[in-house]
Amino acid sequence: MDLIPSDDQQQIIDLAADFILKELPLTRLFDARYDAGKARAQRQAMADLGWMGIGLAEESGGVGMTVVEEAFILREIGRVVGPTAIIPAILAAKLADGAGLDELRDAIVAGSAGIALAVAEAPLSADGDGVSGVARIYDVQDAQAIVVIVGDEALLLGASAGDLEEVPFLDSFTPVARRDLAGLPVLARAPAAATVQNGLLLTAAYLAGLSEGAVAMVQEYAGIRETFGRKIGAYQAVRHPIAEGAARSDHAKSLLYVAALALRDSRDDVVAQVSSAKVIAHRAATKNADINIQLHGGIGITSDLPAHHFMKRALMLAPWFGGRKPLLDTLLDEPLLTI
Amino acid sequence: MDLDYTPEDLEFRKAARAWLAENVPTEPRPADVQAGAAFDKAWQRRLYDGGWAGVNWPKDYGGLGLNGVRTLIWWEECERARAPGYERFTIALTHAGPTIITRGTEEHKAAYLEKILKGETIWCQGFSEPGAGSDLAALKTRGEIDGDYLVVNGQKTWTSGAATAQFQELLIRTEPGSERHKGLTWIICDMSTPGITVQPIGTMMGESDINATFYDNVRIPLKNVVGEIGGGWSVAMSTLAFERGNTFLRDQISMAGKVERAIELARKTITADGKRAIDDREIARKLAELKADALGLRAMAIMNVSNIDRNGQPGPEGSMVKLLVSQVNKQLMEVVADLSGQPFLDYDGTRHSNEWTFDFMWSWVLTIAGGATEIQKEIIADRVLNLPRSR
Repeated sequence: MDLIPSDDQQQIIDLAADFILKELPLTRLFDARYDAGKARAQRQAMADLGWMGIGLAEESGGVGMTVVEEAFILREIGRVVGPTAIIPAILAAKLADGAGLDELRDAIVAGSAGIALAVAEAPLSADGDGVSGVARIYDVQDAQAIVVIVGDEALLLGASAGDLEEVPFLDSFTPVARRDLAGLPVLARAPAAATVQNGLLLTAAYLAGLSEGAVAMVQEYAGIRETFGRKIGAYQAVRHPIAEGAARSDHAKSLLYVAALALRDSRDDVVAQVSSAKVIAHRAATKNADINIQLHGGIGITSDLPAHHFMKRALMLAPWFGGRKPLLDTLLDEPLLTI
Repeated sequence: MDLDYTPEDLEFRKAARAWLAENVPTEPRPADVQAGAAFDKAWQRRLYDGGWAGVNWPKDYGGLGLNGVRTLIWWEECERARAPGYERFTIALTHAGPTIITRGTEEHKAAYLEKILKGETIWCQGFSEPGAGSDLAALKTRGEIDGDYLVVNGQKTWTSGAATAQFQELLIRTEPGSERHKGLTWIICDMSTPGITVQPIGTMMGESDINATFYDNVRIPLKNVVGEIGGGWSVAMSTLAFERGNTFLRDQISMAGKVERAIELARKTITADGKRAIDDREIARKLAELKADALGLRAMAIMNVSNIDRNGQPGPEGSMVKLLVSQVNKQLMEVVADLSGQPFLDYDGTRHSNEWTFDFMWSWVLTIAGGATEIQKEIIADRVLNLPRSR
């Protein structure tokens, strides 16, 4: 029983943190707009580090690590509101691998293929021909395939640029389409559980990172900004919400680690753990995004400052692999004590 | 990283479970102050006789010297068996005893430690005063040296267990004119010394064992001083990490079981509209979210013991645990009050008449005692986040 990353794991975390610092600093978001070329370069750089295949077996062209290391990476990306496209990419690489679509799998791992995620807006149904129903499709840039969960199935649908017309979207750094999924070819299908659990974990990891990143941002500001002749971090009205935010982040991070191990080791309580991890991380990300905007004062609502991106990204991720309400409804009946 | 137990851990769990199944008292802890203390002493004695006293005290001092993971297992098994908590032995086992182990002389250790483990001596804490609670360093109770004695005058408050305790860890001002953290002394006070008056303080729970303690020329031998005269603050703080790492472990672990019991309550409670409380979606989802919170607290407990086993001390999460545990507990109690309806108000002034109602009121004890929520936030802001100081 040990929840502290090993030296090797810590090295992965440190490398990811270094990369993020250099390639995806928060300053990149200062009054910036989405740039397809930059997004493509970021995807390539992450693929070069092996991130799309970090949990994929070596014989399948992956790094041969586990969902735990995937969670480490996603947490680091979340800290800086990094690209979410890596979430469907990681899942799609595994689905493609399971279906024998080696070419697609290799393209995903190499970073040459983009993968999108469809989240139902109305009830979806699947039959032998494909999926029908309207969905919001996230991270459509260069998407060659779309991951979608329909009932107890996870499907990989084929797509091309013409299929996915971008719509204006709150989170301007995520290219999004909206359409009926009918007519898109089915590339692969598998029982949903593995993809959903993996997706919940990756999303929880990203959200845990978001909540930590938001606290780090406001913590820094509280140590610099002065009002009434004092640093604002000295005022309890400011420092107490930040302290609560740090506690929320720690709560979310600890649960994320346990959930990651539960999934890696296929423990009996995996559903309860990954569902809880997302619920708690999402709540932490939302509340911490709130204090980050609020405690910055007026500058907090400007586009000059990236504080708003934390809130928009948390909102965007809310329905991924199950929203709060369905997750809580599942959790109510899950046994807790697995001693 | 792993969630696995070693074969030895599993053996330990098996042994603990078997012993607890045989030995946990079947009768509830009595509400009466004296009878309650006698119950606590008997339980501590039983733990000692069974070889389970002082689970995380060092072996050299009669404890089991368990590592973090085993301590966690022990509390999980205690929770599973619904074993009694530390109750009146809280101060002796989690603060006074560890302080004597860390800072006491060999004479102190020989005189006091074994008696604690054997369940013979209850200890209370003489730290807070009417003008010094959250701001402990403002304390004024004074001690003057007179030959081989310190003569103590003043008043302490919130002294849980003062009426049944044999000893008190007493923090007093021994340097006239000194201020704040300087000039304080940590001394062992025998509660039977002439000049001590204990006055019970009524509480919102009805049943209670907290008191005001008055000192009128109380003569305490100088040999009872632990650490240096004037060095009391550092003695009082020396076991802070120990406390942070361990005091709330059981509360963290027990939250999951408490949420499950609340869900059970919601399944069998019929509300005024004739429906089961659990069929109310708002209540069901609040309970489910608290279940997620409880899993998070357990994860923090595992992180905490991992840090203790790896680095010898709790990580930053140690200072966040109390804040979160007491908040989650309070939210749970609010849901229970909501779902229970009017029967929640049936209460005769003792916890046995309505455990949930008692726990509801006790939720403020958890958010205030042992460092109020507001103080916990200060500690996190200062020591974890290094924010500009507010004071």
